[in-house]
Order: sequence, then structure tokens, then C-alpha cells
Amino acid sequence: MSATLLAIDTCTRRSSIALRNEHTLLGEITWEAQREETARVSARIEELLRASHVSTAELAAIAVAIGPGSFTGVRCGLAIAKGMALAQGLPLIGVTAFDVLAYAQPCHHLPMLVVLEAGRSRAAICRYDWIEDVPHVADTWRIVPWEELVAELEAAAPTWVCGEVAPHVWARLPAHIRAAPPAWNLRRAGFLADLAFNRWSRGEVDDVMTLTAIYPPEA
Amino acid sequence: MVVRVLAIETSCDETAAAVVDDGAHIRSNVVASQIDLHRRYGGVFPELASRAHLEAIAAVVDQAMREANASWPSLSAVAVTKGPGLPGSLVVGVNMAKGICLARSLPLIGVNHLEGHIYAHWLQPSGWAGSIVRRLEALGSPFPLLALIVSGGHTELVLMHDHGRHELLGHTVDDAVGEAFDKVARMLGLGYPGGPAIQQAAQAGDPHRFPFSRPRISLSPKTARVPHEALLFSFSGAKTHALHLIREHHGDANGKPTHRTPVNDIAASFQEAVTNWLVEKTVLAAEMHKVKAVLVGGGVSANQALRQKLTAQLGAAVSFPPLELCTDNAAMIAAAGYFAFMRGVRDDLSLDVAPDLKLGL
Repeated sequence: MSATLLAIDTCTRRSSIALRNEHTLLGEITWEAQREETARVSARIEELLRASHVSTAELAAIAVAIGPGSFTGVRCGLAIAKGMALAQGLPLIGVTAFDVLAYAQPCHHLPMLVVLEAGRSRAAICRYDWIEDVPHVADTWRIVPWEELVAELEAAAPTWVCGEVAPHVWARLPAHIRAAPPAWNLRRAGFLADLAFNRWSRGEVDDVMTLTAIYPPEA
Repeated sequence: MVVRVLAIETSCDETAAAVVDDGAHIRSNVVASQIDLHRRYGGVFPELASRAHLEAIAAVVDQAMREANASWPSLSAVAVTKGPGLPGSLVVGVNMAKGICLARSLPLIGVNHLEGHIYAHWLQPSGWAGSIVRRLEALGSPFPLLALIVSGGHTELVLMHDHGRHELLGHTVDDAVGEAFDKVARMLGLGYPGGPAIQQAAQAGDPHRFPFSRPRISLSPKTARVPHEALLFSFSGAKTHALHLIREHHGDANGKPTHRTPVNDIAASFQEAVTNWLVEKTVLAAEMHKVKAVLVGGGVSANQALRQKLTAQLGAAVSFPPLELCTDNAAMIAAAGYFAFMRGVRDDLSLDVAPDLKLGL
């Protein structure tokens, strides 16, 4: 059995967990969490381990999405990840929810805007550019009201928009904006596992003691 | 064989972890305080508390395990405060505990924070002869016991019939007593936390200069679940009275004290009134239920006036743990967790936080 990595993403209402080893995504559960449903995450991890026939002793690394998103959701995932990493002496790899979505998009060479729900009629957005077929963060992420986002996109060059765009906003995106189809917009922990596995292979791990969530600048 | 419990407590503004053997012997008791973080707000700022818990939790648990010289396989169970407390703070501790239990296949026990304050009296730290409950146990059953829990979030009188069998006798109908200390200290410009600040100012003040009238509290639909209205507390009136005293005695246009305001006398009179009410109701409850001892817990039990008055009234029947076990800590959660574990209590991984958890209702 090769080294297995557990990935946990509870940043927003769409929560996801996955297991992968060197060559295979062993299993993944993605669900729409109800409000304050943080209590279910640990039980679902246990369920995934059982369904994938992986014991906790076989885990070799933990990956966790560090936000942005619901403060409680992000902290819930991080606390579980820290508890598991500390108790098993495992490396911990933190990845932003933006990176998970950007990594999952098909290579199209358009500037890309990754969108996450930020609550109170606002979105958290981050721009990416393609460099040698790999998405790279182009700008500091920020929080904008949906109305402002629509206005910004009207004035923008052709852009690929993906992620958790509010249903009422999709319909209002201007014609030159390419909207990702639904499957690309779902943040799946399988992609988090891929990203984290690559970083882990390069020796890029985070400190279990100090890794923390990312929060919007004004909060 | 030793039953070793790792406990985690994050219900308010202390990130704490402890390792305790057999519900008594403290191998480690680590508390990372956030007092400095909240000082500028004059109270606990919930979102900041949650962030600080997440930043501290792994290092605090790691330190507790190292100081205890405990290996992960040597643990029998993990106990964690599930409530009452700040929701965002509880989430960090509960999920940390769940991650550990998941990784190590350990039993998980969710503990009521108030029960933890009571079980601080079962701990046997070095340098402390031990609480009266251990001496009572040596003679037979220590029950019934009365617990007075007084802190920034709680003012409760709880009757303990047996391990795991509690009855709520009294509680505050508005502010917790520690909250009232914090608010009055802030009004008087004495700083945070309010308990030690008021106590210090009161030492130089006249406790009889300003009489505070006794609050009239009656049973209402909200309070009717407790058996006797005489055991209900109220502190918001005392807080308002302190504000009036500042205004009447050279307070400025914003109601803030000036150099001519008798700050020390107001602090001393407030403390005198509040501690008198606590003592009267505690003694009344102890007599009503013929308890064998009174166990005091929570940060306000550090108050010297309260300690002296309770001791004067109850003598050897009242017990105060060492200060570090009165304020929020995880050793007390481990002790409560141990007794629950021995009764067969287990929680599964779907354990949720319970911010409004009650004890004995």
C-alpha cells in the first residue's frame, strides 16, 4: 500500500473530502452541507476511510483547504486536520479554496476569475493567469458585492469565470464572459488532494502548529 | 491500570489542554490565555477568540502531551468541552478532539463545562491537600453536594445528587456575576479583566458608603424551571446602580468617572453587595438541601471577599480548589470526562457543539 493522503475541504456550503495515493484517487465524498452542519465532517471522513478500505494507520499526509469561506467551516476542517496530523505525526499541507478551483479548470489560456460565496450578497474573488499551461494567482483576492462583480466583468476583457457564482448572477454575465459549466464549478477534494500531493512530493509542507485560516482583509 | 484522559477546553477565551490520570492526578495542565487580545474590548470578542483558539490549539495539545510525558497509545480517552460557551470557540476544540479520536481510534467524551468546574474538586494536584470531597469519599458517599459556579459566563447553584445526576437550583436571570464585574470595572476605568481590578480598587474603598438595593426577582416562564425563586440571581441592576453613582459623583458628560469620582468606594460597595447576595443564596441552598459540602468554582471564586464570607458562614464545609483550577482549564474537563468514561458515557464522531448547554435541567 503506497502513501495515502486525506484531503478535507469544508470552506463553504459545498464540503468535500477525498483520499488518494501516488497514482489513484481512492474515493471522494462531496456534499451540500446544511447551515452549521460542521458536526458531520469527522463522521464522513470515517465513512470514506471505511468505504475506501484505508485505515488511519495507512495515512501519510493530510491536506486541508484554508479558506476563504465560512469562518466556522474553515476552522472546523482545519481543527480536524490538525488533530489528525498531530496525533499521527503526519505532514499537513494547506491550500486555498481558490487554488483548488483554479487547478481543476481546463487549460483555455483565458484570464480566469475564481469565485467563492462570501455571504451577505458578496463574492470572494481571485484572478489567475495561465503561465505554461498552469494557473497562477495574478492578483490579491478580495471581497466584492455581486453587483460590483457584474459591473467589473462588463468592462473586462474576455474572462473564464468559475466557482460559486450566485444563481441570479450567472444569467447576468455579459456575452464575452465564458462561464464554466456546472461540473467545473464544484470544488472537489480530489483536486485538493492532487495539488497537495504535488506539493508534498516537492517537500512543501506546512507547520501543524502555526497553519491557520485565511480571512478577508476587512474582517 | 491507569485510565489516562487527554482533555481539551476552548469554550471561551482560554485555549487549554491537560492530561490527567484516574480523574485525579494531573500530569499536565496547559492554558494559553487570550486576556491581552481582549483587553482593548473590555470583554471577550468572539471572532477573535475563535481565531486565537485555532492558532494555539495544536501547540497547546502538543505541550500538554509532552509535559505529561504521555505517548498517544497510552491514552484511554479524549474529553472535550462541548458547551456551554461561544459557538465558534467550541467548534475548534471539539473538532480538534474529533481529529485526534479519529486518527487514534480513541473514545470521545463531550463534557459540560459547568460539570468541569465541579469536578475540579476531584483533582489532586501536588501541593494541595485535596478537596473536601475526597475526605468525604473516604467516609462513604460525599453526596448530596452543592456547587456554586461563578465566572464571566456563569452564575449557577447546582445540587449534585450523584456522579452524573445534577439539579439546577439557581441561576442568573440577566448578567453573569463575572460579566457584571467586567462591565462595572470598565465603567470605572479600572481595566480588564474586571474581577481582579475591582478587588484591588475595593481594598482602598469603603464597602458601606453606597448601599446597593437587593434585586427583586420572581419566577417567570423563563426561570420557572428552577424550584425556588429565592435562589435566582440578578446583577444588571447593580451594574446600572454603579453607573448612576458615577453620574451623581462627578462623572463627565459621557458618564465616565473623573478624578473626583469616588471610584474605590463604588468598587468596594459593588463588590460588597454582589458577594453578599452570592453568599446568602448559597448558604440558603445548602441549608434547604442539607448538603455535605459546598464546592465553589469559576474565575470569580478567586475573589477574596467572596472566599472570606463563604468560609465565615460555612466553615470547613466549603471548598475552593487552587486558583489555577478555579479559572477555565482542561484538567477539570479531564476529571469530569474520567467519571463519565467510567460510567460508560461515549460520544460518536457526530458530537456537535452545544453553546446553550445547561446542567441539571
